[in-house]
Amino acid sequence: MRRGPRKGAFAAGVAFAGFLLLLPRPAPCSNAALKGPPPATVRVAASDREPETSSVRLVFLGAIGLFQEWVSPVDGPRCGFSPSCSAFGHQAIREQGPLRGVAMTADRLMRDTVFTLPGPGYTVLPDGHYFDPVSRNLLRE
Amino acid sequence: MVPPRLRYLLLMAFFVAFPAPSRATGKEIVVTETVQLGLADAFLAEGEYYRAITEYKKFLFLFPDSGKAGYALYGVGTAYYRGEEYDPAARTFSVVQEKYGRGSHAAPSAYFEGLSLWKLGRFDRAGAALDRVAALDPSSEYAPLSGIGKSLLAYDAQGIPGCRHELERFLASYPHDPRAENVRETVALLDRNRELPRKSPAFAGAMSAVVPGSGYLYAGRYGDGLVAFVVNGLFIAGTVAAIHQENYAVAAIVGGIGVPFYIGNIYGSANAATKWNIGVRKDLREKIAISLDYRF
Repeated sequence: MRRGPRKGAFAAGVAFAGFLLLLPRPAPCSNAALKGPPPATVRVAASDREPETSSVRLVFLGAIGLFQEWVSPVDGPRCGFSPSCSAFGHQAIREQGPLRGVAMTADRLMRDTVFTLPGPGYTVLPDGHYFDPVSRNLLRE
Repeated sequence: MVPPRLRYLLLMAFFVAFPAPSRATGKEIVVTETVQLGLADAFLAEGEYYRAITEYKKFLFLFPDSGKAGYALYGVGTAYYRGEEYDPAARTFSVVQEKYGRGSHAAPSAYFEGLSLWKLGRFDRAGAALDRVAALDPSSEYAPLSGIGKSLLAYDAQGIPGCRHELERFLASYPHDPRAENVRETVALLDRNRELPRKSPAFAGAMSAVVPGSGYLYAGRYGDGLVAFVVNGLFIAGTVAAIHQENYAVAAIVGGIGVPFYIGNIYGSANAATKWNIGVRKDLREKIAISLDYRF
């Protein structure tokens, strides 16, 4: 039986594997890692929010949800504001109640036209949208 | 037995695989106060704020009794401030004043604590911190600067009278400061704008309740006014026409959709007037900042 060459091949294979293991693996580096951790942001997940109990509010929020789910994706993003009118309406009704929220949403829909110009009420974002959050429409000076 | 050629190859692989011991060149890295602070300062200057904070904190860990510990802690606060992390910045600057109240960094710390709290919208505490600057070190370059900052802070918190009061305080405290002439011009600017023009949100809302869209026109938003007039006019006309035709179901549907737009038109007009007032206040604030040549 000729066992010598097989033993030698095995030993060479082990040595080669060891050699490969000893080679340093290049460390993946990204620019983001150099800048340190991103600033902490507190986001409230939808599941963490208080469950909605008002039936009137549920109807309006459900209608906006249906629009966002089924209608909006069909014709794409068309709103000139940020947040979009549906997101604005959702937030306004959830935070300000159905009466004020619906009034704010109707006002927003009437303002989202070709006549809208940047002014004291709007900041133009880099993507061209006008920044108009709920917090800037609460009648507070 | 391993053949001689393979043995030779294995030996070569063994030598290649083992890293050669690095030769000492005689140079050693000795971490001194100067080296550690220099590294932290370099990171701060490069805009690597988190790394700068780490290095300043390492300095405080390695050399807690150093005479430069106050500078290092001030550096931590500065890195947080420049990184726009205003809450930890304000807390760090506050600790600098507590621990090193007699050091040269106490007055600048009070100044930047004031600016950090200002950014966080905590106007009362920001004002108190800016007031502390002159108390900690009246000769500091930050003392007159805090007086100017306080005047803008007073404008944000109390309006024109508060701002004017602070500027007069500045002129009384630092009459020979190089910025005194700017401050005098700003006082004159405030006197010219003692009564800012104002649009009444209630009046705008009432106008739109009578004639939809007219409140927007009053607030200077002509396009929004036209849209509100047309939209509400169509809904009202549709509802009235349906009632005239005794088609009450259609009247209820059209009217039901139209009512939110009618209320929205009233709300929006009041909102437009509010935004107009905010715009006027912002414009004057910008003029004051330019006149004082003060940015932060």
